[in-house]
Amino acid sequence: MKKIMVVDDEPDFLKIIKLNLEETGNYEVMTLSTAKNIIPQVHSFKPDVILLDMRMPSIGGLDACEMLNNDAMGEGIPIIIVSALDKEQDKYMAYKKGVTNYLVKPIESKDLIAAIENCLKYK
Amino acid sequence: MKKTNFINKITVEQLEKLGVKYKKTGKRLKGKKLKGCNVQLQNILTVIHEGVTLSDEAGHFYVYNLGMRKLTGYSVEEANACPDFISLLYPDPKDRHMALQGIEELLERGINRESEVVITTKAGQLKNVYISSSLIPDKNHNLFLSVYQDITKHKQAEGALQKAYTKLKEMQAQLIQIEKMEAIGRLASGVAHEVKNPLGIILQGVNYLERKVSPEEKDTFEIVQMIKSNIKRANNIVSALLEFSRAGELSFKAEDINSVLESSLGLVRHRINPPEIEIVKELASDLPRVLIDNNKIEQVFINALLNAVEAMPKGGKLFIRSYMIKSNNLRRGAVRGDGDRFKLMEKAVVVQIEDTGSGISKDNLEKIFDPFFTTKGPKGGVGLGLAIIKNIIDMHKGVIDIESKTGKGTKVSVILKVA
Repeated sequence: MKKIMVVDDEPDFLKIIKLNLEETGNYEVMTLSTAKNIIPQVHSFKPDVILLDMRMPSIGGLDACEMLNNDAMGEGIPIIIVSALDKEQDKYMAYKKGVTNYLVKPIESKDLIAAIENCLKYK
Repeated sequence: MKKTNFINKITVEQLEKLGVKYKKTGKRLKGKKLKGCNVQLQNILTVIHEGVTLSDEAGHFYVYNLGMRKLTGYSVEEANACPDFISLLYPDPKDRHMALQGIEELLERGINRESEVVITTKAGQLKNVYISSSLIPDKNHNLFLSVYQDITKHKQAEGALQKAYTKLKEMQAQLIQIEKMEAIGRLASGVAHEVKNPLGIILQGVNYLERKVSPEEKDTFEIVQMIKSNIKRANNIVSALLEFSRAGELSFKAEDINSVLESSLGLVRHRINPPEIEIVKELASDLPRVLIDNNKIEQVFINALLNAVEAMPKGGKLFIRSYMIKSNNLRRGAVRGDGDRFKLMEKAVVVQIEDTGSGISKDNLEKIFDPFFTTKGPKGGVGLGLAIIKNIIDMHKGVIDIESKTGKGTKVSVILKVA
């Protein structure tokens, strides 16, 4: 079973994403409402893919990417941005930080799963 | 200038009626004194800047001062020799009618009359003249005393002022519109982002429910699908709002407009179904490059092409034209107040997309660029397409013009600046 870490400040989103992913029977999901302690959580959970929101209080998605890039374990984990921001500039900045994919909310569950599977394929 | 006999055959009584006070003693002046008085009057009339005439009903001038000669270019001899001096002075039937009407009114009512007319001078120059006329009734023949004031310069100044005022009003309206659009853009951007987040949650929730409902539970299944399609609809609205708010983010480059047109056409070709729709291309080959954001202008053309195709469900002709003009040939239908974007005689490139479809009613044409105005119903569109297009063209300092006749078709003209 693959491990997925979801970081988003919307508790409802975390809840429904966890339900949808876990119901497939293929994933174990850990949710975080802030990226504040992302590094120790990554160390303990050891995710295969991280889903990151862009706009979050205190530490945003791009900062979280930076933190992961600077961490020996974190730098190799594929990151998928799942955000309501759909500006080209936001996408460009995220890809520059090394994210694997950028998905814009609202997103269908099947599309999210396909994106996760893609990441896992090339991991 | 040769001295003219201003006073000719005029009676002392008529002079008295003019109010000239030369009869201090109560006795009528004769001989030298009368002649002296005439000279005095002549001197006064000569120095008066305005044209002063005293004429009878037959159009004979008894008084015709230097000011009148300067104003019209005609001497008193020329004026009196002309059988129809009024027609000479007022070749325009409207002005002539006004002059004759003034004489009639004076005769009928005897009241002073003031009017503004345009006269044509001997040199063919048009002059605006303010005429003040009064009737001097007499037993034998009525006389008309008229004072002509040249108000051409005033009129020109008034015209220039009016033009400047109109321009100022247009610019003010334009500024208000730009500010309004910017405010809407900022608001839209914020709202759109905030709406997309809950939509994301709802869609994931619906995806969850979808799996729980079997297609056999027809009503529940249908409702879930209905929610899903409405999430997409709401998302389209906010996406359009975001796009609208971003019309100003442009990257300009000198581009060949025909290539942009061809690539736009390529992108919508699958929606054009020949032979029902015949594409007629009339693209000028020697056009200068235009300074545009390729993607945004492509978006404008795609929008216009799709609208044209949608307007011809039973087929028709789709004209795609490009040509160069000089800006004094601009014609604006649906868009007002964009006239100042091109200097007089400035070269500009025009792209025209014309269909022979259903056309747009006059009422709708006036509202066509208003955000959220749509005739396509809730499932057809958000009503931001043309508002975005207008915004894009505004940002290019270009002009978009839509002409349409119900049942005949629609012509969209986009006028762009040369690089």
